[in-house]
Amino acid sequence: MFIREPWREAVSLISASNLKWGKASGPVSFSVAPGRMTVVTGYSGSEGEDLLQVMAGIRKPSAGSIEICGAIPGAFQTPPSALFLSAAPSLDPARPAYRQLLSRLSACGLSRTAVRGELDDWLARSGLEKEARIRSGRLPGWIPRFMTLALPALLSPRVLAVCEPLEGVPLVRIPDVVGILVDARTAGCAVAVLSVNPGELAAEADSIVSIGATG
Amino acid sequence: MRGFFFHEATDRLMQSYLSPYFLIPVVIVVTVSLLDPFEITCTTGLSGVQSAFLSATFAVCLISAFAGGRFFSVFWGSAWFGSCLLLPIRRASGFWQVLLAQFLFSSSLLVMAWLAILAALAGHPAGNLMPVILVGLASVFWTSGAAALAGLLTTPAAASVFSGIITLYSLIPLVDPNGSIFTSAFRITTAAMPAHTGLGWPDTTAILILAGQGLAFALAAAGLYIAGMRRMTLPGER
Repeated sequence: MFIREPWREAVSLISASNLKWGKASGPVSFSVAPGRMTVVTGYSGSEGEDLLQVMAGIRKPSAGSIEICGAIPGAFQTPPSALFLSAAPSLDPARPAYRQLLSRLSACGLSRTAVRGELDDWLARSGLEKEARIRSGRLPGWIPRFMTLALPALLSPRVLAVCEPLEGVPLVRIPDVVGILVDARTAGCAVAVLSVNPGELAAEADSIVSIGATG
Repeated sequence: MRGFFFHEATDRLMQSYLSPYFLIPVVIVVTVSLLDPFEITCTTGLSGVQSAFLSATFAVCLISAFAGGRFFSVFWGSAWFGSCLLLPIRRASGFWQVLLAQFLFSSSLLVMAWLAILAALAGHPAGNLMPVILVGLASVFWTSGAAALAGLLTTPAAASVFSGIITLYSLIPLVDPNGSIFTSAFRITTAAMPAHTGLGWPDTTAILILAGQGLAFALAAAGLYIAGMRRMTLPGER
């Protein structure tokens, strides 16, 4: 039976064509439509982080092109509807995580007071209420990275690109990370996951693209 | 939130960079002990309050330069800052909001030092304080620009020393107008702060030159920031 799925026919929100950057071994082409999740893999070292910077417009590709939300990413600002999360969390290790998460959420367009309750709920569901009050540098590395996933969970971006979301995450917590990304996809977000070792994310992905191949 | 980087910078300045400013009285005491304020008052025609204002300006600028060089280098070089540039916020604000926060922070402390002087010297003839206040604020801006440039050029410790020494050498005429400690050779601020042995200093030209030089430092730093941001080679990325 054919089921019409309008989101599958929608214009891709992420579109890379013969993209090369840094010392990547080969070009990569991929596109991600709303409500889809693509895993980009097959690279080594920090090339995923470099690709994320190319997608965010900070770094220029050495060849090929990329469009986010139908436009070439700008050097001075990421599109308001797109969220890029690097492997390094955007939290200062010297300060407690909670206040930083609030300021990042409000920096991305949500009112600090309005989002406070939602963040409290998210942290309670994640069992990280106490950890949020501790300096993020004193926490195991995966926790600040996991906490950063509150941003896509609460902001509902149209485009989400995440680099190495499973790095260092304990086995028991991997379903939570996968769940957040799947929830984003279900909400209609175009999700790109950049990972050397996608693990359980590969099973959830709509497509897997390897560097040097075209997907 | 429009002032994301401003708030982040202000938070860090208040929490980690306030303590060096406790040295303001110490720097003033050292300055006064090395130089003869009475002689300076006689040769320049400045009132005692004006002279004290300039001493406070020099002390705040010196500390601001040492602390600011480190602050800018640490702030822009942090991994979290690099990650925040990926958020949907204006990346250019990561420069000017941080610079503004450091300038306002130092200026606030300078104003407090001036108020303390006014309270301590109540009743003394003050003269026209406006030119001295303007030259003080221009000097703080000069220092912030120099510290920002140093912070983008090198590591925290080196940036602190670099901007501190440049400031010490360039702004010493505020408290040593006769050039008894350093000669004026190669001093950047020579045009703004000549050996003023007569009345009328600081004049509008001196204030504009100082502010202009500060702006030049800030623009050079902005250029470096944009270049570094595009290549992701801000201090911490090295």
